[in-house]
Amino acid sequence: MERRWRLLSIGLLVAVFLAVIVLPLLLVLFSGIAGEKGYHFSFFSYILTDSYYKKAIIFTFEQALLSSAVTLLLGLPGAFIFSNYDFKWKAQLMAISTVPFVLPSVLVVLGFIIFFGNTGVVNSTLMDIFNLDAPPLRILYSWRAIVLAHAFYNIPLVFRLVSSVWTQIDDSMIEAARNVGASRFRILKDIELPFIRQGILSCMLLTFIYSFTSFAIVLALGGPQYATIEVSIYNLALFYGTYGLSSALALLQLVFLSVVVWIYMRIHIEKGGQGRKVLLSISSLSPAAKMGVVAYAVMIGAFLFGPMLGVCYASLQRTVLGQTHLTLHWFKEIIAGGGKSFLGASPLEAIFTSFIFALLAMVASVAFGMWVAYMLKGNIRGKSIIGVATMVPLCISTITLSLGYIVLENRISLDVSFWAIVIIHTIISFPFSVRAISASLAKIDEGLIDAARGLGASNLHAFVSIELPLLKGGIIAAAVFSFAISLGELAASFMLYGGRYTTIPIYIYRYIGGYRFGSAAAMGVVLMVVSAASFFIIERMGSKMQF
Amino acid sequence: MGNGDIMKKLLAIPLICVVLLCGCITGDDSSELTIYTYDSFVSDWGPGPMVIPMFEEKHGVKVNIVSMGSSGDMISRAILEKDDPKADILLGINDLQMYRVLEHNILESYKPKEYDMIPAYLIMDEEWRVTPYDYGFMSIIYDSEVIDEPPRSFEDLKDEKWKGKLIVEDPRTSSPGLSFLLWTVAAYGDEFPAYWESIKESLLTVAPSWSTAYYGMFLEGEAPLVVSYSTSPAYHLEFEDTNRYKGVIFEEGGFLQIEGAGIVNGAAHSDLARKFIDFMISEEFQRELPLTQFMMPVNPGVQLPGSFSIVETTDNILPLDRTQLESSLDEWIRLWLSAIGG
Repeated sequence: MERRWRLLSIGLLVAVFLAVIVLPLLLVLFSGIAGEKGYHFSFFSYILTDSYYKKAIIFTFEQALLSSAVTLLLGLPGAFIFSNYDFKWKAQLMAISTVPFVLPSVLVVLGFIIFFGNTGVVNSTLMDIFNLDAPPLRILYSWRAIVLAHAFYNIPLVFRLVSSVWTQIDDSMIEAARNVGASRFRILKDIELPFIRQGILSCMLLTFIYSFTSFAIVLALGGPQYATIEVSIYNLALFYGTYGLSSALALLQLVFLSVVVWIYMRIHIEKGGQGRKVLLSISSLSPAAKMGVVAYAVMIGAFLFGPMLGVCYASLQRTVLGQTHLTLHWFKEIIAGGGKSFLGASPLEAIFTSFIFALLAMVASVAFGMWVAYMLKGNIRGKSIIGVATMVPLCISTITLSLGYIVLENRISLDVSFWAIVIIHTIISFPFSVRAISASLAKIDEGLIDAARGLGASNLHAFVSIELPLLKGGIIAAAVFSFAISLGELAASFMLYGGRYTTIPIYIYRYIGGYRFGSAAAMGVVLMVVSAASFFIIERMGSKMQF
Repeated sequence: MGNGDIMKKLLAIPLICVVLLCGCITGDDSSELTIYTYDSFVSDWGPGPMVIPMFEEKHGVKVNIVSMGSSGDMISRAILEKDDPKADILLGINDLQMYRVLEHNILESYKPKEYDMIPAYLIMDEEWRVTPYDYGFMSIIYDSEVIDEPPRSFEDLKDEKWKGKLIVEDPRTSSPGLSFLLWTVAAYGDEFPAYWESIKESLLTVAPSWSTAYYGMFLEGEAPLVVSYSTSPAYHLEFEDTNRYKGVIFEEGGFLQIEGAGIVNGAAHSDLARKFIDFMISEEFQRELPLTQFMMPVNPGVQLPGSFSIVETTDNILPLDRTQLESSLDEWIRLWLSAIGG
């Protein structure tokens, strides 16, 4: 019985995978967009021997590794604080610190320049304090800027994913260790770190893949001397029109990443532990520890909120009569409908549309995420392959996938753009959902559920009353990320919306196209506020939900 | 409540939204002339809201002006619709993208009535598949509050004192970036890679777009020199009342970027489209361009606004065959990349 269901489940999943991912991709290939010259091994040998591409491949690995290491280093203390202590404004802080995840790269670049730039906040402050003539901090326009921007994007992932696992740790285990005289450090090292390993590895994997395929950030903050594989694919396909070579590169990227995911899937995760951690009040800390927490909070707060405040500043800045003033002019302009004349949608309509897409993608992504997480739970055969397949959406470019849907739409002569956008948003957020839910699921003790069944609980009852509450942290994290990814997504939405479903990122993109940087920044602020509010509400509703 | 009800409700929400959204947008199929263009043309602050009603009134027709995002987005859309064209006119094709449009053969020739008043150096296509409507010189814009004496020539830029002072745009992703690269090709010929190698140190960075370079970096004070159009200072003078930002056209000679429009092959309203092209180069249309597009009108009869007195210009125009772009561009970009260390 079990087995049959499992087989059916796998069959269905494969069918969905083929239908929504493989079919559109094949259509792109057949339409001659990607395969006009066919695949030749010569492309591969060319890439692997050409010094330019060799350099790009090496740099891609280097910066992705460094980015995920820096992200973890900066994010883990925060995850520790979020999952161990209770403090004022905690939920609000958590919501705001997830915002970087949705910001369009052009606004991240702007925020970084205003904050870290030559005349930016950090440099001018340092120059004032130390009486310097030249900006001391030169991190922009180098690989350091790329790594920092990737950390900026991905730290929210560490905060949420790791702390969702961390709060599942059984306090009695820690209590027992403390009773036998273990130091706080020993407990952290011997009990907690092994426990949250799955969460940490998931974050590393997602950050690694994200940085590996990152594109706009590398172009803007690094400059052309720092090409990655993704940047080369983009340049080859869109600029040179040499699809053979770019497809070969895309395929190579897919292979590299599949190997990485495969290795990750082979790592054995220890089971055990369940329950909820009792949160301590932050005031219970020793003065020295409190100092440490405050120092970290200031540092990470400046890093995460600084660039965001930079965008806010840009939205309030306007030069009139040769003087730069702070004004609400740009906000007035977006409300008055300066964008409506070419977008055909008011800002409010754009917020509404974004919301609908995000809501649908969130529901679908969490549902699929749970389904697949359950399938991956046991030691089933082909687990690594399924695991790799679930990460494929992160490894293929959204642009290619969107092209597939456009071709499909033309083939069947039906207007399916709306659903195509929902499906693509679901596809790209789905890997995050799987990882977030899997990380929580791995920690559930099977014995507990068996015990419940032994006591006469039905499968459904055992699931709803025991498993679901334990999974809550993972599900909330998955929901927030799916919502966030959809809210910030631009490439697929822009290719498929056909002037009808204008979202907030499309608004921002087109304001910039219309040379309205101030209005674009103002709309960016709208995006930040809408996202933070949504994350807060999702989190609230999720944690209030009783089973 | 059964599960079915919940499902129905869940399905109903998006369906209602779709219906609502569609309802808001459709309903302009009856219009006669369809023009595809880019965002800044039709925005409140662009020329669209002024010139389109003029044309509608003059000919008693309705114009359906559709903005596609950037001009590149517009061209891609037109190529996709090649077999079943929905637009009558493509407005906003610049001279650097023109070969893409021409090679797909999606435009028909039309020589507008008053074509002979357009100066010869602005003619984009000998066959008049694309008719120019505005142009600008490429220029280095500098912040006069930071530097007194800007570089006056390409050679000046090699000087040590400009180290990390110039922001350029990526020719692969930005049209001013491409124009600047072609400017160096026009000035140095086959020697242009060596030139780029010699100014490598002067570059702060290569930005992916003009917006990022100009607004995101230059106006934020990241560096005092940026590649832009000669008309940029007029914008600051007109709307911000400041002459802080000034332009330089290098002594080696100027380089033009020209924008034009064309009639789509197989357009449903080609007669009306021809009338629009005639109208486009008339003074009525042309005089709106300086303060909305911040480009120079191609019609020499147009009186320029006062703020344009700050705009640099030159008679020494460096020639470069734009139709040659298709065959050489890939190679030039490759050489450029390796010159700057990509």
